[in-house]
Amino acid sequence: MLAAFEEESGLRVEILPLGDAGSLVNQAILSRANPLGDVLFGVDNTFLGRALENDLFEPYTSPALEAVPEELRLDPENRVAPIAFGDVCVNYDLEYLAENDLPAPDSLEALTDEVYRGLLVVQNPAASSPGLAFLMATVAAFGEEGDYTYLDYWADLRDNEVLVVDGWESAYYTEFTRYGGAYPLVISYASSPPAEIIFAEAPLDEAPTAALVAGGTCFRQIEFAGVLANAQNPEGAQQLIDFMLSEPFQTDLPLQMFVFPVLSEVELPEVFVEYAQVAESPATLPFEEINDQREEWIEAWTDVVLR
Amino acid sequence: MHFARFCLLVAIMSWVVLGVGSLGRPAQAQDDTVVLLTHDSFNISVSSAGGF
Repeated sequence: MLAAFEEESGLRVEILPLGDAGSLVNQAILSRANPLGDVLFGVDNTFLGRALENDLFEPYTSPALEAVPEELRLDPENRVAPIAFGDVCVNYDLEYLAENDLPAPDSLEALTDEVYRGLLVVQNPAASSPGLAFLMATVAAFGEEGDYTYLDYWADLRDNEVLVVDGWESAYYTEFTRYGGAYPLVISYASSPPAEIIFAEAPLDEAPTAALVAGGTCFRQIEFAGVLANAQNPEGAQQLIDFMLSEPFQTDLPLQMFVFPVLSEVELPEVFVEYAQVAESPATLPFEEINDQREEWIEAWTDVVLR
Repeated sequence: MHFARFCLLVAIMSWVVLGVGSLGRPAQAQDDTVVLLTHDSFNISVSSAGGF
């Protein structure tokens, strides 16, 4: 896909992967004075505040931004441009639920019900991006004050024998019943069911998993790109951001990275239309609040769930 | 002994932090190159032939 950009622009693209989103941002901050690259793609709304408070990016208003829905454009100064989004939700194994005569969960509260005791696996928010996103969903849903806070909710999940693992891969590919584990409920993405179809060893007629997408049960991660401050090739970086917001690149995103394009007029692949669900009204939190509170939420979560 | 270990640790940490900070752009990147920093999940290949 980027070959088209190279041909069109006469530029070469060199890709430098730097670990997960948190590690990417941290390394970019450490090397800000003499940056490792020209453009950064992959900072999401859970780390955007950290990137912006460290002046990681130069503002750039791509002409293509006009076609991006306002609710995805979080930075009014356009230091970053939204490129893709995905919803982190509870996924469940349809076959396991049917065989055990269990209903699909229909709310976050349902997960604390006795019928789901010992059936949910989540990721540690201190070590995992979807784990952090799901913690945010619970903060947004239950709040930090009042009779029943997100910490009360997590205490109930703990009492209902939730399993915590470090990363998405071990949760999904080791503990999830679909892959031989003992947990039929797992935190993953709303786009995981079409991925099950596409990567199935034998062709499937139906997705074997589904996602709980009811209002407020998912957290929306928005991924951004920005021109790095002190970049050696800022014009090239701008051109690459324009390309990331072009129809060819946006069309390619769903099946390459299992995320949704930010351009709503882009046609989604059929398997996405059929099996990927967009969360009805996903939980969101202001990125500034996430930046201020993230460590506190994780610390409090650790006290309640792991200590 | 503990102090010696502490000093060694400080030196290693300084080297790591300063080392990362001074690495800069990949040496082979020329003026006609755009260097894209991204996460490990980035999966848009440069060409269908598998790279550049």
